[in-house]
Amino acid sequence: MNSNLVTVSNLAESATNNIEKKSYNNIGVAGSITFALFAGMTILKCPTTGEIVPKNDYSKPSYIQYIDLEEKKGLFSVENNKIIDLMKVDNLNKIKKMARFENDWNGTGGSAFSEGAINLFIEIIEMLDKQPGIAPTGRNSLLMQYELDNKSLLAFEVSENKTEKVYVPEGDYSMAQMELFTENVGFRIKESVENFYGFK
Amino acid sequence: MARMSNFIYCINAEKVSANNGQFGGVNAIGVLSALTPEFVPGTFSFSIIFSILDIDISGNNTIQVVFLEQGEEKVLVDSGIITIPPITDAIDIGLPDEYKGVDMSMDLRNVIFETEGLYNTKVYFNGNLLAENPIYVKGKR
Amino acid sequence: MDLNNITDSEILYRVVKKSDPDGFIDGKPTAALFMDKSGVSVDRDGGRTEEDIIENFKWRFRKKEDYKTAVKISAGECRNIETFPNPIGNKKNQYHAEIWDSEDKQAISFFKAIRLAQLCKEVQI
Repeated sequence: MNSNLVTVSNLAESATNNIEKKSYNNIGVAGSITFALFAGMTILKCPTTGEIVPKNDYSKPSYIQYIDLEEKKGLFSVENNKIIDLMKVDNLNKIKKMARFENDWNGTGGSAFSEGAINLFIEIIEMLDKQPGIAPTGRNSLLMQYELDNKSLLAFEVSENKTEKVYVPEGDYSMAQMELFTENVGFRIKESVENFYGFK
Repeated sequence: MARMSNFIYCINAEKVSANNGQFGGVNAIGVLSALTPEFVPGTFSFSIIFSILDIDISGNNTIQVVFLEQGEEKVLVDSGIITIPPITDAIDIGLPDEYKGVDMSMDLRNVIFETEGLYNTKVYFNGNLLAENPIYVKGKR
Repeated sequence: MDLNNITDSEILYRVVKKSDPDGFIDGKPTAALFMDKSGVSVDRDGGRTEEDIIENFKWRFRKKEDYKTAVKISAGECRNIETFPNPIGNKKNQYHAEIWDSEDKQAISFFKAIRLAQLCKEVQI
């Protein structure tokens, strides 16, 4: 628990939060303080669905003191260190290895990757904030894949001339949706990923 | 000597761009003090964010992240050895060397948890174990 | 073994080589293992035990010690998702077969490759 962010107030006077109220009524004081602190720490997630509670549904508990960083100042302060997305670095390293594959690299006739294809893969990986799992195919294309805990799947076969998208909701292949992109592939993939994760 | 700082488990590591379009940062969305899949056995996805300070970023470095059940040998996630290329365009504001470094994030997706209990993330930097960060895993139901 | 017909219960094995990296994501086989320019090469079990099949793979790739693992799927499962197990065979290997997208089309579509990956299992030997 991060003690810099939590201050325990007088629960009897300022119990405005519903979870806090319930806990205070049902159990002893020491227990209620402990429970309220724990409830506060998990309040960002809906207890039943596990989804992140949207900002406007979230009532700030009175016993947690937040330190608001003005957005501008906050972002200036991150210039000191470089941020590295380890998955992105790993994916770019894998693509560099793929660039050195020769014909029949997989023992079943897999083609060597063209320079155009490799450059496209790198460009797309660089654009993505949420990195996919990737795997080379035997037909000059790259599989990019995302899967959620509820078995929803978002996958792309990226080739030099076209990209095919498959979306499978909650592991139900009968409801699968397919789409073909030939232009603005990077942006289309990025948009699909953002929708998939609910960032939009 | 390399040391770890700011290790966080969270639901999502959100990358952000700085206002000047240069280096960005990362936001920890949904900080976690425990991992709580709906069911155990079950799967759970989460992210980790950490900083490594007092390192030389002008040369090649390697990082490896291993996630396993505390006390067990079976590894649940192994990033393998990831080579981080030299970073030559970092903005230098004159921080002391022991406070210069890199922030890193990583998604651990669809990790299969077969039992509840204490799990551990081990971070290796240039082949040396830098730090271990335990976290408890408990099913919601 | 009927050289001209693969029964539904017959198991098809696809080799994963060490030199073929990243065929797995998060420990699960990926569609990439089934995405080739033409039909996907597999070995049919032909009545052999799994141990014999894997030993044969290891022997075939012994020069570079390139055998990493294998994935398996039944011919019936292949047919259920409308792919076509084709008992091609060849001079060197009577157990050689291929999985095609359909009877008329060799290269497996992306969606069917995803289905194959979802249904197949890694051999645990």
